[in-house]
Amino acid sequence: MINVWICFTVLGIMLSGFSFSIRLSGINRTFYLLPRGILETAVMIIDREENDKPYYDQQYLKEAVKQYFVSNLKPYTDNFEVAFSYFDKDGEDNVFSGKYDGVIIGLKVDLMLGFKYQNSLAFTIGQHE
Amino acid sequence: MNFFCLPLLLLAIGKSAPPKLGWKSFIIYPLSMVETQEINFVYSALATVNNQAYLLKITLQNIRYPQGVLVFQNTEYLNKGIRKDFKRVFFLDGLAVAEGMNTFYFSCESTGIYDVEEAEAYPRVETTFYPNEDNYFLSLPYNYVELKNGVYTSKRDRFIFHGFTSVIEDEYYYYLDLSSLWFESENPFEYDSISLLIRRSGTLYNLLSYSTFLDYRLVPLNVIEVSSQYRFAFASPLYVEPNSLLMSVTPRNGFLETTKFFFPRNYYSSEKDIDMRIIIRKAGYNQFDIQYNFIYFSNLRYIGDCRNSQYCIMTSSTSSFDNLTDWEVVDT
Repeated sequence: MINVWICFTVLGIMLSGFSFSIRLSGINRTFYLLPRGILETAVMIIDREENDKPYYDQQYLKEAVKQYFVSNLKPYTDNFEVAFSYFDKDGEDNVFSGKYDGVIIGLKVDLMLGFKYQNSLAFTIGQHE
Repeated sequence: MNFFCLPLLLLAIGKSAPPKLGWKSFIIYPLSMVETQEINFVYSALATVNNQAYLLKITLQNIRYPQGVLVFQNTEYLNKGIRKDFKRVFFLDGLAVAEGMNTFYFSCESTGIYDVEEAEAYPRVETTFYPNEDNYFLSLPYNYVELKNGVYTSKRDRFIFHGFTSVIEDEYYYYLDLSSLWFESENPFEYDSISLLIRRSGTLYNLLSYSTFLDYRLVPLNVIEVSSQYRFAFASPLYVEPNSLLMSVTPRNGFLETTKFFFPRNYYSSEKDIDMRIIIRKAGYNQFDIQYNFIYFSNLRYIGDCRNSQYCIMTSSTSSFDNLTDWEVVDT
């Protein structure tokens, strides 16, 4: 009887571990495969002034990234947390213009039993040399 | 006292002195041998007797009419003391014009008056000029004649084109930049229309105007003079669809007004070298056409991979979670 209970417990732990691993790798893959096309499309074209460095359209980027995570994290989680932090890669102060050529995108997802997936990536707009 | 009043007196006399009498102005553009042409003139008269008759005549002399032919005649009457500018326009039949010199005699006969003004005019140079690297200078004979406030001058069309190369290279695929093109004109530049033609490529330019060249779509241009340099500008605002960057010449739903001509997004491969033309109709005094054919070449994509694009997205991992403060919970 004990042997059966131990077997089921071990099986349960193994299944939980397997499920945990599938979710973790799926979320991780989804995060790292965030399409560059989204960020490229978010680079302002029309409203860019003659002397401006290219910069992100923050509204578009936020919506497009959220939409991407909603579509691709559905199999792994019911909700997630996302955050954006903009910066100028040359350290210029663009608080008033809001024109930033760098962004950190962070993602947090509850896995199970208080374990959280959390990761962040920085995307900067570089120039051809 | 008189010494101090003299300048004022001279000024008053100068201001009240009547303008010159006689032939005041006319303009003869290079003559068309086909079309009927308008010639405007002004004769300034002051009658010294009542009901004074002024017989205005214009005679044309050329190799076809060596003795001259009367092309305009009109009589005007003025009462004594009346001063008047006779402003007239006459229509010269192109068939009366001959090759070589065409001499116009503007004459006015009246009591005690016989005013004649002679003007040497020449036929229009019919040409289409194709500017390029080797052919950037155009100088035509002096064949525009005018009399302005009694001063007779003869002018010519003379242009120097700068930057009109067969290929315009742009750093990257973004928007059409014609700032490298400009030209100089010896006289104030006159023209009928300027068009930018863009070769059709699928349906990409279907929202532009039709052109008489079936393979091309059209965007109207004009020129702006900046310190004697003529540069091209779009004649009216353009409209761009912000996602596809398709251009339209008329306002449309979802399109934004712009002063730039953007190239369609994601079509670098097919649109990196676009066949274009700029056509100026009836340019200068001779009303000739200028047709500039060129390729607009973009060296790099606007954004994409770092090797082939002007801008690229560079990714780096970061552990600076502290900067991320504004977390938003999103349901999937």
